Amino acid sequence: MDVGVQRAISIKTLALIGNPNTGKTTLFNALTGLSQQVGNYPGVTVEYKVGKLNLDGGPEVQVLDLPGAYSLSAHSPDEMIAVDVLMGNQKGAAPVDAILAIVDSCNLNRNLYLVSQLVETGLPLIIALNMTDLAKARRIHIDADRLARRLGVPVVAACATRGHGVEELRRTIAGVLSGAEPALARTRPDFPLEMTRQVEKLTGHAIPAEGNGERILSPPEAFRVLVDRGGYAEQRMLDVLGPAFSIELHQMRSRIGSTDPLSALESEIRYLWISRLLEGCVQQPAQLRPRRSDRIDRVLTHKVAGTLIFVAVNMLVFEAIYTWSGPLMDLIDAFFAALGNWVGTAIPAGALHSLVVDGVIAGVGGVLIFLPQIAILFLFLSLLADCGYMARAAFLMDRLLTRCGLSGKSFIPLLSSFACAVPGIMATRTIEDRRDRFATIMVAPLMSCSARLPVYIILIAAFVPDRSLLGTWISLQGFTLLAMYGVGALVAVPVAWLLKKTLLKGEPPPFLLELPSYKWPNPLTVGLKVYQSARAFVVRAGSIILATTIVMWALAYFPRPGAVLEHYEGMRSEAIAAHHGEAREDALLAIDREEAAILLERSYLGQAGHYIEPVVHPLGWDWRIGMATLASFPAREVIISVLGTIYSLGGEEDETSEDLRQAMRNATWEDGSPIFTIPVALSIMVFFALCAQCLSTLVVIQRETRSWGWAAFTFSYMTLLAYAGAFATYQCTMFLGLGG
Amino acid sequence: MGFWKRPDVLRPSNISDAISGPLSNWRCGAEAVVTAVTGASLFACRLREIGVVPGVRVRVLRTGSNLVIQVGEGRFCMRRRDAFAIHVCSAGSALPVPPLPSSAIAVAVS
Repeated sequence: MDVGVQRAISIKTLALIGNPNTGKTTLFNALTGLSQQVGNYPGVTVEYKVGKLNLDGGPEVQVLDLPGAYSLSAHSPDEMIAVDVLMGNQKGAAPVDAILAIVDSCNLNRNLYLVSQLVETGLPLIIALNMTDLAKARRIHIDADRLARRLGVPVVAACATRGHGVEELRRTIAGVLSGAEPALARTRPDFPLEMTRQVEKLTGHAIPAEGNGERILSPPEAFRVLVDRGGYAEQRMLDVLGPAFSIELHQMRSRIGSTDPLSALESEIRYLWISRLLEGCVQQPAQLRPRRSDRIDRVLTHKVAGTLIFVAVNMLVFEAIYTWSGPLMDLIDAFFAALGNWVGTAIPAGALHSLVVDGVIAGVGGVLIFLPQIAILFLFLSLLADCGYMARAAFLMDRLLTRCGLSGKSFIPLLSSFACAVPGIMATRTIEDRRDRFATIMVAPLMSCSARLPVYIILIAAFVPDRSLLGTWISLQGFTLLAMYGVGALVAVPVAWLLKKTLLKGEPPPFLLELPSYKWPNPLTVGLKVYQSARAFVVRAGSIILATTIVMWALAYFPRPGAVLEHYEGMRSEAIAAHHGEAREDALLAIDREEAAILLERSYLGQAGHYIEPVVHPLGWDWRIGMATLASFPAREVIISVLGTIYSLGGEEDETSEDLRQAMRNATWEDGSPIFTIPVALSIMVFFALCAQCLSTLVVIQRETRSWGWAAFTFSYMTLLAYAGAFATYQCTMFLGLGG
Repeated sequence: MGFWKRPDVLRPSNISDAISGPLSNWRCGAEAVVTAVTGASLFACRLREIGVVPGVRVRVLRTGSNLVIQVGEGRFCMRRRDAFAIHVCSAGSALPVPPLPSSAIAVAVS
């Protein structure tokens, strides 16, 4: 939804900004509750969150959550967002009326660096001193009132995790937005005269704005152009103004006459301003003190112990996904079976009956069964991220990722891709180096996303024996699931390495990552994340998957040749005349099945299937699997719904059970041997593990790389890999005699 | 495997008695004072933003190919070869720490 559209005259906009790991999300949730929306700014892909803040009797306020940053300096489009939104230059974002800066009381010096840049925007500013309880425990005493007087802006002590200070923050926001409370900074860092002069000179530049017309460079933006050598602000100016501007900028920089890089000068002056500001406001121990969690870190970041724990945590997650979801899945399964039966009796036989029962319920219902797994996966991912473990894992993985030419920065995007490649690819915006970012984007879809989970689960449940490994520690089924997740990740290593050696040649960029203090995960933060992901999954099942399923159903249902129908009608009359009692029932059932099978084979889908059968035969697949896989290219979960529809239409589903697992076990080749064996199941799973069957991912790749070429490249290399992988899997497992 | 032991006992550093040098060679567990951050690279820029500036105390919490360093109450990780950009001296050493700011030009501060 467009933020600009929401804005009426009476709505005020408050921008929430702060360093990473300051409890920004928790505070945002505490202020806005459930009234949030997630979206994207047009043109860029940074995710933004908007929430409504209700102030009693005050103006209506929308809170805009900006990405966490240590500074406003921008070396990638992602980082430029903050400056653009604050200065009202971001298309789709409403002009900001005030800034709420969230500051970590334990790291006041570092957090005020960003504040020193925010005071230069000239916007009303409110400071929320968060984590005051933790600061107190660490014997850091902050005189908030004195700081507020010195800065000239309200400073509110808070502890968002416990809800302390949130009420006062609301009152302050209301006061500032109504103009009753002064919030314009009284002091700002003092830069050398020549530097201020050059910034003023740059401010006069007119540059083309979004759409038509021109706009004047704002002072904070001009500052970034001047100071960030090779930064994004400079790049953007050069793109419009050409090389002449490059020379001009060089002259302006040399006129300042600093022997140090300008960024060094900036940080020195800002930190000097901070130390003056805090004089007499803060009492903190001068010595660097060890923390209890340093001991935990010694284990968790240890080369051997840490890696073992990392593997163990992953195994636990997959085991939980597999075992915990069982009862919930059975419940949803039973619901759809009952719904199918009820609808089946309510709608008269015919095309509509078939569309609803075979298409929508057997198809989409089959996908929705996997909601518990998706929820559990996101639950664990957000728990691990919220407690602070993810950064430790990134530290460990940097060693491995450096070997294949990437960095620890790629870890979180890649890990997010295990949930879904779309947010994973968007998260690569935090990687400054272009080549690294592209290489990460190319391999992100190889991580087994949650959409692959249903495919794995159903095939594993149907064909992998339920045995335990390592005593009773882990089941063979859970292990197979973990192995499937491993396939994509393992293949990503040589792919990334090759890319960095050839198309995206370059040194691995530097790596600097904060290890946040550990904390108990916040239930609201985790709950909201799980809810939002589950909702996205259901919406997807109701849109793209439903649409593809209906198309596939139609292809599998039509045409219904009159000759075939008449032929079987005749056979039925003969059977009724020839048999009695149970024998008659059996004969009719056999005729029904034969008719359904013939109709499916003569359908458009069946006709097309015979063309692709030679292609998929080396993988051990029959034409039904081939067509279901082909139909899954827009969205991979479709295979479940299409197989459900095909077997439902083909009459191979058991009369008593709507279960697709059973239908697959019953499916046979013409000679009566079963189609689905362990090698076939494995070959399908490997194919799905490696294939780029997701339209949304390809669209996001195009948007991120600004080229269809990279999207086409990802699609082709992954499809080839998938075919080769499935072929190798099938042939090897057959050779090993698993074909049974 | 001895990860539960104090890491400075575990890994005697090659320049354990140094009173100044790059942070990459610093002894694990020992406190140091930053004397300079060299270079105009993006990494140097990011380091300065998180508060690794002359005069600030830092401590190395883990050595190896990747380091963990403590800056104030924060913990940051980086690669050892990148940490060559950070010059430090012993916290207790008599070496003068350049006054803040060390910029070559006069800065008017209100």
